Amino acid sequence: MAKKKKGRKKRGIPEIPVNSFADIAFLLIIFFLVATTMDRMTGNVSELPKGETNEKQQDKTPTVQLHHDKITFQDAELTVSELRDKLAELKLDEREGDAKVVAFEATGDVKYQDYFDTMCTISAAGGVIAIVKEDKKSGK
Amino acid sequence: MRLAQRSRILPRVPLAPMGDIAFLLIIFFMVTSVFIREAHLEVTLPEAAEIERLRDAHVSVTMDRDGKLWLQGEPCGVQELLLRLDTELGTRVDKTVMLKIDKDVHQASFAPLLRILSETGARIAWLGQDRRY
Repeated sequence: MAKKKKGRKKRGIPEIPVNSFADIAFLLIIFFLVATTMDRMTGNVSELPKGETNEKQQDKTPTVQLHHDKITFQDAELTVSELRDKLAELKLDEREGDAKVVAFEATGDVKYQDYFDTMCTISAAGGVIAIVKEDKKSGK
Repeated sequence: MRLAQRSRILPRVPLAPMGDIAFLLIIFFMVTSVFIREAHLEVTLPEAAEIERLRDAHVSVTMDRDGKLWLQGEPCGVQELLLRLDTELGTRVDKTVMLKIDKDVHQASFAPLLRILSETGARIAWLGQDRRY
């Protein structure tokens, strides 16, 4: 009887299966594509000072008022483009310090759209916005 | 005369570098991406002609159409906003707060929010859309 030769087991070199790596990576890419926003932020940057203004300062400061959808500047009713021209005449961007300040006052029924539009107009003219609190005016 | 048959090499798409390319793309997205924290909020931003490009800020405050306040995409009350904002801004070098308010919200609703923001001493990035586009 022929002796059965014990065959050596073929030993494969251990390998990390990398075939699925690309699939995993592409899944991750899809996740990032879905979860990422490519939007560019636009708007207006300003600081909201908490300082108080006295009566003397308020008299000198140019004041923009918003009532419902009406813009008033130095007690004259204007449109946004007219306000832009009036502010340009003041040459706020050439001024320094407190002279750049424009007081901004709005009533409770003003929509944020009008508020934001007016605020951007003042900022673009080089003005520093000082928000006048309503309760302060009414003396509450 | 019998011609010797040429051994034919089967055309193959080299798939090995695909993984490398994919991982490079992942690294790119990880570095450049900003996660949407407020995808669930429906806020229509106001428009203006004079608008500038803003840098992304890490702290965001949102007021939706109903006047509800959200800090970092989570609901937040007006009373707790100051405290939570101080915590959020406390450790950061950039003290900018991204402010999103729906265009239809009235001043009476967002005025208390502005008052709180002024107390934090943060820089405010008022978000809006460019009217020209």
